[in-house]
Amino acid sequence: MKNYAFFIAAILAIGCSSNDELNKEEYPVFEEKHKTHTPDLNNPTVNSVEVKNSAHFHTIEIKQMKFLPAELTLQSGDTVMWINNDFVLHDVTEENKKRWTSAPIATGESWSKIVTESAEYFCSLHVVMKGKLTVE
Amino acid sequence: MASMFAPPIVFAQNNPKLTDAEVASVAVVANQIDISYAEIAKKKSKDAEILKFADTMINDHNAVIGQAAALVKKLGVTPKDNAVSQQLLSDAEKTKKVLNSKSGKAFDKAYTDNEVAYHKAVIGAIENLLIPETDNPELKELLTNVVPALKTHLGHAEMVQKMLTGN
Repeated sequence: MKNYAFFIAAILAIGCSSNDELNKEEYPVFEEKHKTHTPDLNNPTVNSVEVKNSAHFHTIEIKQMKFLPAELTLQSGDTVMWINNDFVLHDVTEENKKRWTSAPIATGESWSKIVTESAEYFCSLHVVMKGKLTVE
Repeated sequence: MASMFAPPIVFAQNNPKLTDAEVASVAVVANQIDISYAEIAKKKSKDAEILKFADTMINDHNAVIGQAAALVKKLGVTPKDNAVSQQLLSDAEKTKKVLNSKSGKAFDKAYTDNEVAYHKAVIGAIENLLIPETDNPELKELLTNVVPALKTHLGHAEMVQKMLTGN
């Protein structure tokens, strides 16, 4: 059920993105996979593997009070999607100057951002949870 | 500094073997207690960091209770009152009296010190008492999954504690 929720969240995140969030032509493979894939409820590894493999689309899973991966190197303009697979609310907030925040992300939901500069971020609800984005 | 609070003591005793229904009760009660502390903090503190921390405690511990409630329903288990749950509640009553007797910065310090002590005690109890005594694998998994959240709460409480003392 959790996997199914994950897929719905992933599809919604794509579907609801504003124009500048995702250039659909640039991510045909990602779109394709999510439209055609039937969730395998017995295989919990399916989701993250597929999502993470797109060149300019990165997924960070929030699970067991950690950002996974906690450190990510990417190119300017890449999209990062944080998925909350934990059982409590989390958010994603730029740490030093609070330049951006996701606002709370509920269990099974996600938030995406186009990243153009390196950032240290944290969960403002659990202030010891930290992550780092490095733009090459 | 934590000596005025009772929670750590109960877990150190030689408790009798708990059934899964009793473990479920202890888990729910332990979470309810921390929510009740947070509710006091929301009424008494004016410190923004403490109010944020208290909100997180209420949200997260309610989420744990929700998970526990869903699991016991699925397993057809009714949480069963027991000596550990009762001791936790009676200790919590004493702690709440201490907290309610304080105000201002003294309250902020007492609440934060208690959160550090309480989370340490609960983490120890889950790892050393509840998980080893639980037979059902799903209940064991739930308890195991809660530990990272409690450790994050502890780290958060210790940060607030340091901030209050200006270190």
